[in-house]
Amino acid sequence: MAMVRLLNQLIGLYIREVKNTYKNPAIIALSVIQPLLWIVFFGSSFSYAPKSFLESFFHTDNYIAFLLSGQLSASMLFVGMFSSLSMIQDKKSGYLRRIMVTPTRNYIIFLAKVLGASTRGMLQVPIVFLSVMLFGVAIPEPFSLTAFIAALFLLSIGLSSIYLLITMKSSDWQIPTVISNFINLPLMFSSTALFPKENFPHWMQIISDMNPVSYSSTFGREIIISGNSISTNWVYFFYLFIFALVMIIIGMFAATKTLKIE
Amino acid sequence: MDDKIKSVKIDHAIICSQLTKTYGSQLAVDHIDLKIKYGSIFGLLGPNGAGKTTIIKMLTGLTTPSCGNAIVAGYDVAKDSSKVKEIIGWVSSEVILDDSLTSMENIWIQSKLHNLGKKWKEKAFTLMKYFELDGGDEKKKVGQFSTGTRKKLEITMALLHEPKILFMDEPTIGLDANTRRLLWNLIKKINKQFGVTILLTTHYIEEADVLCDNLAIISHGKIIARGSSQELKAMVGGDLLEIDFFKFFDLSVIKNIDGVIEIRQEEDDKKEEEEEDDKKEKPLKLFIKVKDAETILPALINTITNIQPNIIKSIRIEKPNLESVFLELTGMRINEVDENIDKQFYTKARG
Ligand SMILES: Nc1ncnc2c1ncn2[C@@H]1O[C@H](COP(=O)(O)OP(=O)(O)O)[C@@H](O)[C@H]1O
Ligand SMILES: [Mg+2]
Repeated sequence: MAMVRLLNQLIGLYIREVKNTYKNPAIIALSVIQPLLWIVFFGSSFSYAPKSFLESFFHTDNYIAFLLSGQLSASMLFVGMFSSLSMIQDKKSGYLRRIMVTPTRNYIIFLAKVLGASTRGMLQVPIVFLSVMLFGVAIPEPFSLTAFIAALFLLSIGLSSIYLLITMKSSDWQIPTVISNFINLPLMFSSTALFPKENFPHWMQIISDMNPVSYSSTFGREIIISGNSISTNWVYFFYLFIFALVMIIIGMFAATKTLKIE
Repeated sequence: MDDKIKSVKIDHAIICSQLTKTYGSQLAVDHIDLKIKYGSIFGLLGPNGAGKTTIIKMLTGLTTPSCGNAIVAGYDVAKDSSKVKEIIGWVSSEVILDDSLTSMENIWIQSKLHNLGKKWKEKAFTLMKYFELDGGDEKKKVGQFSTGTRKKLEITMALLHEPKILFMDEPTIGLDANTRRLLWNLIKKINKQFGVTILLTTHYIEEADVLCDNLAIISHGKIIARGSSQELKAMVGGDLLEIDFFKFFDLSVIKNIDGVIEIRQEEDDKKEEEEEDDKKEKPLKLFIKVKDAETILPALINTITNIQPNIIKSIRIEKPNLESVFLELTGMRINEVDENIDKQFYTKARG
């Protein structure tokens, strides 16, 4: 009975997140157009590079195939940032207060935000995959594709949780934007999202080896380049699973203890 | 448990004892004692910043009291806040809805939060019909509704789970006079029809007067008077004359007129620093409490003009009302306090 109640509250708030997303054209446009711009502009920057260079540097002759997994992984950083912005919006508009005068537990509010943000992050996946087909990238077989999307989902759950942690107590618009620059840029460039790590300096390789964005990038890249998951290293996937689990548990505790309206 | 305490708990929807909230060094709510009977409409009347919203926040379990305690519907708000939240409804002062969703979508989310199950739609339709809300406009986003309609929708949502107690924070702020009257009727209807106890806050004198069975007047976090509107007005014990003079004159002559109860000069901050001569040339405002304004006024005007003609600028008669109660207790009008707060705000913003 208590479980049913928790589930109902979670469903209510989760559907709210989803509905508010697809009724907001700006969010949709942003999550569709931004990845396309990445793929088109960044992906084209190696268009005239010699094939031999691409083969030796990226281990594929198609940079877009290399970039695809990295771009989708890196964009989960921004999905995470938007989750904390939407929390602040709910604080500022008073909606959080509306929720908190009902018998809804704080960790349910947190879970709904995390799941909502991660779902929002998945919006771009089909669009990006469809568009890279035009650049000659083959779509992996369904099981492997699903595994990659699941990895992205886990990554975005972990990252959204981190971002929501910083907005439990505060409702300052500046905080997520400032912090995102300190988290997003280092995590993006110290990961294998854009370039292989072989040429990184030692200290950056260490960060990269702990960086969840790297794990998702490399996991997905193996799948996309080979088209299947026969030779995929599943350690990456389990690392992401643990990362998501730990962050979500920390987040739920933090929400219970510290989530506040002002 | 003591039988006496038990019966108080059963009779009263809300009991506060020594309820206090401090923000830093500021006392927002200052040791408040309050008992509110089931089925009544209770009003907290006070100017901006008096602590009304903070009281509601504590009673709805949104913030924990710094000291003292409160029992709402039989449960301690600090210890059993989730039980309290199941039984209460809340209507915000600013309308808070998901503007890009339809009214049914907004209601559905609320029903999920209260775990209402399949009956939610039936309940929603009944309430919407009762409030003459147009449920037929299914595709229209809530953001396009008028403020009055949005307010009604919010009340519908607050009543969906059949709460015993409804909290309304400044329910008619920002509404035009017509919508305000409409809402007053609605609030009364809700109270009668559904037997819901209502605690509302307001800084509108008329609203408190028209709507509330019982009132507490609150200023700077303290309850400075309480009772029914009738009882409070009786406290004033006479009419109030507010007279503006062009300049200062000797007050002793009017003190002796039969029927004058009390004379008070408007407080002026800079009075101390001024020279006596200066003071004589300055305009003067007096609040004169009298037994009955109509009978005393001719004698009063006579006496004054006999000494010094053409000195009276304006006269205002105030029959006992809640405003004069507040004035009597604090030396200020409720909206004066608001203005002062605005002034403070602007000087802060500029400085
Ligand atoms: N979260 C807060 N932090 C600090 N001070 C607050 C907070 N909330 C309210 N106050 C202060 O407490 C006092 C009472 O505020 P409030 O309860 O909102 O008054 P009202 O609702 O009667 O206008 C005000 O002086 C306000 O500045
Ligand atoms: Mg208020």
